[in-house]
Amino acid sequence: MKKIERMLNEEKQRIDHKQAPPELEERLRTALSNEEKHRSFRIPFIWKTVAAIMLVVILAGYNYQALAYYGKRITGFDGVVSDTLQDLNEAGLGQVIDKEVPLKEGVTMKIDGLMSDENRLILYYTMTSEKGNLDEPAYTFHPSKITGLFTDAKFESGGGQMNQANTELKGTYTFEPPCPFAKELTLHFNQLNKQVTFDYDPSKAMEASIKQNINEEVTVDAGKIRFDTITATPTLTTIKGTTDVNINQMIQPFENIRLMANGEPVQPKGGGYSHSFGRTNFELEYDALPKNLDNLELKVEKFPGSEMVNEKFPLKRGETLNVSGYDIVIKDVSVTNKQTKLTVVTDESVKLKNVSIGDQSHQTPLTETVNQKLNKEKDHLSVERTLIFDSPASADYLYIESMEFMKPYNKGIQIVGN
Amino acid sequence: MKVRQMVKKAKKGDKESLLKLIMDQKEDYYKIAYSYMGNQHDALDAMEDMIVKLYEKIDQLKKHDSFYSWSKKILVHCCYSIYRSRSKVVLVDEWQDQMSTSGHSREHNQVDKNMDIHQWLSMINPRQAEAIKLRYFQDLDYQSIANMTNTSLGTVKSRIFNGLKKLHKLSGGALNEEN
Repeated sequence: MKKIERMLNEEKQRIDHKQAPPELEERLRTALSNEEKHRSFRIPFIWKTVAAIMLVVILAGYNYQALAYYGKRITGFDGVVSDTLQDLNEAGLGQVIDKEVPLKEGVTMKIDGLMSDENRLILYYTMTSEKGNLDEPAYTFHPSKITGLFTDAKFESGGGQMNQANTELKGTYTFEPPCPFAKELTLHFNQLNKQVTFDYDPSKAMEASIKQNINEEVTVDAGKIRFDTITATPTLTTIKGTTDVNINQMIQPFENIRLMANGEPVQPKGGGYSHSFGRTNFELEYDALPKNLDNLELKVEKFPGSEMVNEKFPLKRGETLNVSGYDIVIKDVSVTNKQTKLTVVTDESVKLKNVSIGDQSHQTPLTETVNQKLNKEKDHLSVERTLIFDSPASADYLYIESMEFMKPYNKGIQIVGN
Repeated sequence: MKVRQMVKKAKKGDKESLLKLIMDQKEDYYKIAYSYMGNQHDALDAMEDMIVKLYEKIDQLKKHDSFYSWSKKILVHCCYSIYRSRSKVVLVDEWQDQMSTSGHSREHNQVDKNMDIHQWLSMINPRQAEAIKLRYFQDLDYQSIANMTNTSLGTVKSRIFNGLKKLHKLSGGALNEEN
């Protein structure tokens, strides 16, 4: 055995025979007694974790509304959208999407979010281009539709706001509502072979607060107006119906159908109509209804109607005739060697039927109406027309057989309340 | 009283229980400390350090049954700390000693037939010395040494092997002459 191993063994023998010295216990006790004050009461890790989790849960739970508020809001569109949409957005009813897609030559489209319900889908978007060319027609994009599972929603309207440098455009596009089964939607553009696909959560679509059949008719002179359904969603109220009244030549035939909520008129947002098989299908849009709805009434204040006039009026320049509550201003009368030209100004809705001029000996019917001009007055549209009669002689009177105009009916349909 | 119950009490801050746990195996602790430190004075210092550490950290002991293996590990650690701090301290007379014999290598200069095993061990890597002490003085198997020093089995084996080799080499001249 080598010396080292031997020495190690010897040392082991020596250590084995070593006995702990008697003062050991006292020394250890003294060492411990000095330690007393320094003993730290450790809180076990698990309790610290539990406490931290509870704190987070309490804080997050208590401020849930605020967190949800900031989590869901689509930001930056304050100037672009209406008050109703802004309120909904602030209530966190939108879906934040935040998807960016390059469209064309440095122009990037970001879909910030969307809001949808049974009446429409509103897409919030931001276009950016560093070149500042967003105002040029070549870089103005027109969406055509949104597609998805069972969804083919047509583009309805849009609006936006451009910054001064033309580098950023923030706006909204409105489409028809998507199908509730669609989980993914694709935005298509006109004249641009580019599509933007984004996720959609149909469960977040806002529910309609009122969705019911109206099935009521209002009888007017020329026929009936039938109101079929009302769908009131958080973003819009839509009323659908049909009429057999010929409203072909009217510009705003439905403008005087008001929706009254709790006695106050709801702001009209637009509408449209289409003809098929001699009937007119119409859709009227109003702003969202107030939250506490006690009473909802549809009021046909005025509707295109007609009235027999059968009267002769003196023909004099500057004369104002009052027929069935409407003013007819004879602005100008001029006689050439072949014709008599009569310029009249009336309310936009007024149409004169079977008009003629004449004197005691004979009467000349209207040949044609030319130079129709629309003028915007304070609260309505007026129209200026020139009526041409094939009569070189000056006439004494203007004969009006009948007149079509917005006739007051003031008929109401109660939808909610008594 | 069973170990578990005493450990529970010690965890609640009962110092006498902790002391009793140690005193029940005082010979084992003392031998470990002594084999490390090589003298009674330092061994007792190491044990003092140990009991203070145990008192501070006993909350961290998860398994009550493993109190002894855990506390011995701490003792080894305390010994090693003292050992290391001591090796950094060079006493003035030793230092002057070294100065006067400058020109010779330290190893060669200090090799002396009369050196005891602890002095020999102080000349090799302290980790190697630690492993050799635990293996030879405490009769521990390689795995226990690995557990106690927080290393792998292979490291323990190589430390002992290389440490012994170094000792043989150092002692070659001085000790083999006797054989």
